[in-house]
Amino acid sequence: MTIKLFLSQTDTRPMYLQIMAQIRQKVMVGDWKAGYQLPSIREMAAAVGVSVITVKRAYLELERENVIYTQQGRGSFIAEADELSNQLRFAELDEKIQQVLSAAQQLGLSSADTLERMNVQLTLADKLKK
Amino acid sequence: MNNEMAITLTNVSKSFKYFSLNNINLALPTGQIMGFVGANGAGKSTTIRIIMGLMQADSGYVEVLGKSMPTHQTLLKQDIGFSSEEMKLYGSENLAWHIGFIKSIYPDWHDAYCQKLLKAFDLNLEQKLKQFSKGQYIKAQLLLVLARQPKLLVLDEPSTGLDPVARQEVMQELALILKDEERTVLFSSHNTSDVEKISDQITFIDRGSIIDSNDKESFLENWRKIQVELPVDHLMIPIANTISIEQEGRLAAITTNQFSPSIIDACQQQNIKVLAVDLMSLEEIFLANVNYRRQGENK
Amino acid sequence: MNALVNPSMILKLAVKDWHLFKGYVLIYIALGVASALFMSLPYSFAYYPGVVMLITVLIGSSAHLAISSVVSEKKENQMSFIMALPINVLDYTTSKLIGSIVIYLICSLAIVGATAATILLTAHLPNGLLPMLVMCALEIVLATLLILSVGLLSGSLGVTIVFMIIMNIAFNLFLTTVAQLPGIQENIAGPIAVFNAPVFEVIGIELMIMLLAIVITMFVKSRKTCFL
Repeated sequence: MTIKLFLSQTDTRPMYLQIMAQIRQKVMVGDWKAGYQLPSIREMAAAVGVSVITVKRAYLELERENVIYTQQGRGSFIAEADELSNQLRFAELDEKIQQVLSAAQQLGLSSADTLERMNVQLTLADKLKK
Repeated sequence: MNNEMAITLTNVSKSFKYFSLNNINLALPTGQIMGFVGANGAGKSTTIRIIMGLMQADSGYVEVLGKSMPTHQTLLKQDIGFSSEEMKLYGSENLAWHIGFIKSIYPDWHDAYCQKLLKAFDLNLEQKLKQFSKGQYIKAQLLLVLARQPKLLVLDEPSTGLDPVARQEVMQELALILKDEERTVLFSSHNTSDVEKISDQITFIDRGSIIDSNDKESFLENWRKIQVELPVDHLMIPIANTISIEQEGRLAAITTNQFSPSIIDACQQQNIKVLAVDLMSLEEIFLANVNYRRQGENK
Repeated sequence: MNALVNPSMILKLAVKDWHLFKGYVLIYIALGVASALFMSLPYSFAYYPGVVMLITVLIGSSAHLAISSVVSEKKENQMSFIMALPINVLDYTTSKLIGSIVIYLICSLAIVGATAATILLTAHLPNGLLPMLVMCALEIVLATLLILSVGLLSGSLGVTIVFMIIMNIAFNLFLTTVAQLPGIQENIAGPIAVFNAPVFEVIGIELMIMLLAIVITMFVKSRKTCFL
């Protein structure tokens, strides 16, 4: 079984975050379904060319986020949570929204202004789709 | 034999006429990869030679794979693969001869893996080594150690002098070693991005002393570059754990090696506006570390 | 497996050195045999030039071997490749000293044997030359060993070459001195090969110096803290 994660050197995020993001992607897209057994930490490290300690950290964080769970001596598996795919997508969007809110605050804009700008952008995006 | 530590150096020192290694302490657990980073002449090669039992330290204790070096060098070198940048093979002979020679010495040579490496590295068995390009030559050396699959791999600048394609081929093979929790790698390199990607432990050396040694994730977590806007055009008062401050006018960049949210609070207390908190690449961490140490020495 | 020396590894290193040098051994044997045959030609101009050719081949081949075996490996940075093998510095020194001498003896014995046969089979060459042949050939072997030792201990091409020249000079002195020793001088031109007490004394001294050189070299090498 070949493992492919698409890691970027120019991506300024730490390696472990990139790995986590890639695994979340696989869950969101449906490639790795609930109960799927992840490659062992060492297998993943060797396949991706990244240190074991980084993969360990990624798996630990994913477990903390309840995306995966680990069974002693058996390995790590994708969590059985309902609608995990949706949960992850919402979580990722929330993160981006928080960045937008933080930027709005830095620029000194009110919540009402921020919401209005969001609606403007949504309308624009809809127009481009048609 | 299941040893916790693959390599332990305790207070190792060695003096030469114009250079000395001072009180080197280093520990590499079994199953991990350590990247050894330092400027030319910092002492990487000397330290590596002492680890390999090619040189005897003046003082201190060297333990490799559970036994002391260089006392047990003959026994230990059965399980250690060594390659260094300045090492030369026999130019008048071809790769097949070299493989035959190594095979006759190490019974645990892996033929199948050797074939795989020949393909991956695109090396010719029949061609005389003196006709190899620099990159092919380095890969041939690495093949001779990799195909033995030794318990410990000690590599002095394995990727220096390799073009990007060859470097990728080599790093891929090193990464395969990660699969085996009984095998350990120590490699020195100028290429901090390779070190950053594949190392579990990282050690910095400068002017004969270890200036920092830690696991990689701790390094990346602890170091930050904080961009700030000062309330007035004064020289900033250093906050605790500051390695360096670069300032021009009211803008400054603070480099810290023990980042925590309390630093942000401390800034805000001094009415300093935090513009950005950036992670640092291993190269930036290394340079900041070296500059800090050297400034300390010059005072 | 942590003995002071590892005979199987020493053998492997010596076999490696033989493989690298064997082509030249063949060439030198050919040149040496040709010199011996030339020496035996029934012309007055043949003898002394023939002897000089013979000595040149014996000394030249030993110089080539010493340099390629010892100094070259150090200069060419092959030392770290070799010392990374499961050996210690005594194994290396032994393989160089004893292994190289064995390789040289293959060359030397072939040439000396051919020369001895030539002397025995040629009517106008007195058999009394044979003890001189043995003592001189052994002196060159001794000189080779000393050059190897100097090469191993100094690691320097320049020092080794200077020492080689000194050995060449010493050989000339040896030749003239021994040829005039009482008990030897009288028999050189004679029809019988006389291996008497003075001859065995010379051979004995040569062998002892060789042994001393080996012991001293191993001792000094084992004291160094850099094994490269």
